[in-house]
Amino acid sequence: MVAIRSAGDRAGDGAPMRSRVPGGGWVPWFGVGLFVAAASAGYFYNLTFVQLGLVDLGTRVIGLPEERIARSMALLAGLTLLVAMGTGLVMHHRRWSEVFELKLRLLAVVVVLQTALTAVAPQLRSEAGLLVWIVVASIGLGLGVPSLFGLTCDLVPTRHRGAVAAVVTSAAFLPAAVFSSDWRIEQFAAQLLWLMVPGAVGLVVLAFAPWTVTARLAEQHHLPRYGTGRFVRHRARSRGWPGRAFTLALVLMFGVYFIDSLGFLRIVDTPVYIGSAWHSSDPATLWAIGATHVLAAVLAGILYPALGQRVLLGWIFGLFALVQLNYVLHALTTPELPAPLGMPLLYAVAVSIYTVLNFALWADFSTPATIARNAALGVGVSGWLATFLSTALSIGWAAAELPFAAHLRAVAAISLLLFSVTVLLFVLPDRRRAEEEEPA
Amino acid sequence: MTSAPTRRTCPLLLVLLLLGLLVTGCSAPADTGRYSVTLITQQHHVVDERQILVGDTVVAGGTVVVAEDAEHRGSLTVLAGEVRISGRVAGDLTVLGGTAALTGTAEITGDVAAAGGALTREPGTMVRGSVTEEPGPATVLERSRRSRAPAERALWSLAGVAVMAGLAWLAARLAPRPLHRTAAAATAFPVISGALGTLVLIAALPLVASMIFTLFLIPVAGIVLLGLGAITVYGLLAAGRALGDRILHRLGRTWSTPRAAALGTAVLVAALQVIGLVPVVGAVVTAAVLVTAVGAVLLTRFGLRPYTPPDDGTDDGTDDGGAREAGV
Repeated sequence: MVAIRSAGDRAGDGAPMRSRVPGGGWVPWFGVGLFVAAASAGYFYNLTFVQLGLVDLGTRVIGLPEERIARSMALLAGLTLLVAMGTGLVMHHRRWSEVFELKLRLLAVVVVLQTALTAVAPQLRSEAGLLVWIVVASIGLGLGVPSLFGLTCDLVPTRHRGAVAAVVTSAAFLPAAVFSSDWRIEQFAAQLLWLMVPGAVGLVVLAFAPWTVTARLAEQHHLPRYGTGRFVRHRARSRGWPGRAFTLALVLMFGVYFIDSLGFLRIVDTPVYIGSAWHSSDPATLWAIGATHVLAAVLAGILYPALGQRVLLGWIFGLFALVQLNYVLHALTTPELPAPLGMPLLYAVAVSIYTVLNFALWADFSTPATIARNAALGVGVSGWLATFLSTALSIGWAAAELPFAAHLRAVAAISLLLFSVTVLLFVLPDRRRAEEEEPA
Repeated sequence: MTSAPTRRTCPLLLVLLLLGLLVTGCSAPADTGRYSVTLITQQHHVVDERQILVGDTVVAGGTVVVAEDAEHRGSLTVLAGEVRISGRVAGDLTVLGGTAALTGTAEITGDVAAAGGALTREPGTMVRGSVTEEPGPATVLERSRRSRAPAERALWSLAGVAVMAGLAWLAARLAPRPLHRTAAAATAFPVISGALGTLVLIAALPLVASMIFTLFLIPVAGIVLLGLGAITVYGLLAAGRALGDRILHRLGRTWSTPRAAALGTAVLVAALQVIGLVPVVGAVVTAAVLVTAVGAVLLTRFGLRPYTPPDDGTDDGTDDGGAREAGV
């Protein structure tokens, strides 16, 4: 067994050991492959089994009303948020954030737990059983957030995080769009178990048996091209709060997830839109959506290191506002006609871009010492808190019988508001840059 | 001296103005099938005998009937759907699509213009203004696509090449540095420029379509299209300038910057026209050049500043302990 050591046992704080790790060979590629496989499989699991499969389980198999299902999903999001943040903070304070073996083992345990839960889910027949399942799954998902995202600094070189995030996004969305059009829990479980069982076995063997490769991967974050993210400005204060830019990114990414979730929750409930797009029986439509996800991910992967994050976030808000305005216009003017394919394709572009950002951004605000906390905060607040709040708001709007067009118009208005904020942030002068331009 | 805040005020105001117009576009009431003043998009609508409908109407679907002795006070525009007029229209009738039928009892006090769609008039129809029937935009486009004589095609191509070369000469003479910065971005960062250009064009199409759909944002859509055209042309001029430099470097000749830009742009435009004749490959190559040109213009903001990626130096192994570019 590989003994787990704390970061402080190695070289003391602030004294990275660069010379111990060779830079070349196949090990770095194995590390990138491991991250891509784990992250894309995890995101695919969330996109399909958690977001769509559980709704089918609740409504069709158990027979719960939609409102109760929505409450269960909100419970899942809220609990996952709490567990993720708690785990991230504990890992931060105990300095486990830098310990590769611990993060890998935690991830292996999570994958084993989720595999078991995936196998059990189709057998559930009562609401109590579903609630117990949700509580256990929330613990697994919450533990998974800091452990999986925490591996970024060990496995993915800083310069290539955009490209790797693009590969992860493509590998998650393409099969989700093309091969998962049958939204039944049994179908999802059968598909995923083929993927998860060998994955869980492989990950357990890799994490708990002594391997040279894991020992070498564990040292990679000391290399200059790994570890510290591109947005880290003060490494001397690396264990403190990552700064105003991180807070801003957190708020804006929360906004992205919130408007996506709030809009999609209503679109997914509207057969005229979902039947001609994500739930279509036409393979050409599904391939078009999948290919658009890949194209947008590639574009985002190229642009992520080339543009500032506010520019990218501005693009995302603008695209979301545009796509939701398109849905509103369609609902107001020609609701009896099938929706043009351009609408879901544009949605796919926006979703892929922010997913790429999500996989690269939090690690780029972090050092190995802070990545567990920052990733837990980033993914927890932007992803799971946004899902929790948007689901709760959606329940409220559904209870108030808000029409489809009014619902999406509100979402479009929020998107435009956030777009304005990002444009203002981008256009208004940067205080530091302005100071640099002033003559001495 | 121009400070940073002053330089940024104009684009900020422009963005806010455009945003305000866009927000205006989504503030319409949510009654199904009826948008803004009177936009008919579906179902059957009848202005009955002795009824008066006040205001302009645009028919984009469904059926509208103005019965005998009914009055429509305002202009009537038909984009799609069906209109049958037996009463009085106190205004113009414009038919751009769909069908419009004027029965023998119909009276139009203004002009009748049809450019596309089908206009039928029964004997006895009274039109006080002029009646104009022109071919529709689709017909005009179809006519323009008909194969011209080779000499005529060559002449048009040469005219295009000459105009672009002249523009390149002018741009390089009046503002050589912005053109140089844009050219440098296109040649040094073609992938990034291409990715940004692709994203812009992906977003521009639905944006313009949405604006046109709101009707009152059509002028803004026109401005957006003009802006896109200007960006594309300027990007091609910049790419032409870079090409001109390379050609002259290969030839071992030294020309002035405006002449080099004119030469490169002429060669680039001519090459694109020739490659465009090859199916599929021509379209792919032309698209690649255009998106790269558009992206380079946007990366450098029309050449007002040079483009440098924000993470330059990340992989150099240095550990400066702070002061990295925040990238936001």
